[in-house]
Amino acid sequence: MKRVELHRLNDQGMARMGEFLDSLTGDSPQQCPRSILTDGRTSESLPVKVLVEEDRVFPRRYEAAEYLYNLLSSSALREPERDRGLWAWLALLWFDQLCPPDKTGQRKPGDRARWIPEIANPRRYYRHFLLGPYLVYRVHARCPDLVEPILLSPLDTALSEAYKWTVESPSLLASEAVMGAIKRLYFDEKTRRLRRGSQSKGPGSIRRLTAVLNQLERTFDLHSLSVERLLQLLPREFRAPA
Amino acid sequence: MMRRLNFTGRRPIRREDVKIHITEADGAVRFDAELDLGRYNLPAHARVFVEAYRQTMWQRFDFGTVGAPCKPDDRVLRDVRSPDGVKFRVKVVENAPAGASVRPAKILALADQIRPRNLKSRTAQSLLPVDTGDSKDQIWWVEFGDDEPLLRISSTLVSDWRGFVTTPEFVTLALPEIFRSILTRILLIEEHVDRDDAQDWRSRWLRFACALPGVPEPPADLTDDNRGEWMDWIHETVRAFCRRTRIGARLGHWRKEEE
Repeated sequence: MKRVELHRLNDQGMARMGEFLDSLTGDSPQQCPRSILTDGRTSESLPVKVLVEEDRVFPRRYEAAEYLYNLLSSSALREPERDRGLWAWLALLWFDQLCPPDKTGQRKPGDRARWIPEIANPRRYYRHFLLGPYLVYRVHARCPDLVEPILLSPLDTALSEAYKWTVESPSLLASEAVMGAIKRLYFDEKTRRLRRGSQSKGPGSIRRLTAVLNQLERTFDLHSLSVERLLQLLPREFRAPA
Repeated sequence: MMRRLNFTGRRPIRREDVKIHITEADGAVRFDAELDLGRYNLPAHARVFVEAYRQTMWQRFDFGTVGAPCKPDDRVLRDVRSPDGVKFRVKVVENAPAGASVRPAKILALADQIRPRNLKSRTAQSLLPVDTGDSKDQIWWVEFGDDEPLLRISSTLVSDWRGFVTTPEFVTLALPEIFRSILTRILLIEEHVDRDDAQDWRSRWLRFACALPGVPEPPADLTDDNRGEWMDWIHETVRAFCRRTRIGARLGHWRKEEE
C-alpha cells in the first residue's frame, strides 16, 4: 500500500491538467502529468497532513465514497467539498482507474467537470468522479446502506438516472423515506445490484418514481413520512417485491 | 405572456417577509430567521420549518407553528464552515392528524431560494453569483439554467477571477451587456413579465431593473405585436443602469490612467 500526502492543485496545476485532458481527444495525447501532483509550482500542501492510498482500487462509486468520507471526515480539513483543487488533485492521482483506455487504447476523459468540479453550479458540481459520490455518501453517513443503490456503478461509467435525480434534489436525497423506498423497490439485497428493469423508462421504473416524487413534493411534506407510508402513497405501478 | 400555473393551492411567501441572517463564529455558521407570516391567513396550528441547503447538504429546523412561533436553540449549520452558496427555504405545512390512512401533510406556503445576509460582511448577496468556468477561448459568459443566472469567468484565462469582475475594464465593458442579456433572456426568451413572485429570480431581476432611477414604466403586457416596445424598454433600462453605475466616468478614469 503506497500512501502519498494529499495536496491541492493550484490554478496553474488545474490549467496544466486541463491541457492534458484536452490532449487526450486530440491527435497527440500527452502522458499523465503526475509530476504536477507534488510540484510546488502546480500544487499546494494542505493545512493538515492527510495520507491517501495511491494504489487503492474502487470497484464501485460506493467504495470510493466510503473511503473518501472516512479519510476526510477524520481530518481537520475545513470544508473539503468546497476545494476544487483538492478534488482535481485526487482525480489526477487515480487517473488510470477513472479513465481507463478502451479496446483501441484511447482514453475518453469526457466533460471537464468530471475532473475539476464546478463547485457553485447546482447542475454540475456532482458530475465530478469523486466529489459527487462523496457528498451523497456524507448525507447518510450514519446509515450508508441507504445510498448504496445509487452508488452501484463503477467510477468510469456514466452517472445513473437515480444518482442524477437524487443529487439534484437535496431535500429528497436527505429523506430517509425516499432513499428507503428506492432501496426497497429497486435494490436486490442478494446480488447487491439493481433489479432488472429498474433503469428502464417504463412503468414502475426509477425514472417514473422520480417524476412521481417530484410531483408529490410540490404539494406534500414528504419528510414527515416513513418508508412504509411513502410506499403506500405511490401509485400501483410501484410495488415492493415481497 | 407566459403564465405559470399553480394548482397546488400553495401560497408564495413574499421575500420581504423572510429575513435570514448568518453569522460565523468559532468555525461554525449559525443563522437566525425573522418571519412575518401575518398577512397570509394561515391556520394557527400550521407548522413552520426553515430548511438550509447547499449541494447535497440539507437541514431542517422546526420554527414552531404559525400561532406559536418558536426558534430552535440550535441553529448551527452542520457540515458548513463557510456560508458561500447556502440558501434557505421557508415551508409552512399543515398540522395533519396522525394515522396510516391519512394523506401526508400539505405544504400551505413556501418561500424558496432565499439567500441570507451575512452579518459579518453586512452586505446582501448579489443578484448575480460569480464562479469560475472552464474555457480556454472565452473569458466570461452567463449561464442560464432553471435557477438564477450565473456569471462564469474562465479559470484558464483569468487567475484572480474575484478581482477580475471588479476591475474598471470589466465593469464598464462587460457589465451592461450582461445586464442586457439577462433582461433579454427573461423578457423575450422566457416571456416572463411578472414582478410579484419574489421566489422567482426573474421577478427579482425585473424589480431591480424597474427600481433604477429613470427607467420608464414597462409596457403593460407582452404580446407578439409589442416585442419591439419591450426591446426599447430593455435598451432604456440598460442605459439607466449605466447612468446609475457611472459607467462613463469609470471608463474615463481607466482610459486616463492608461494614457
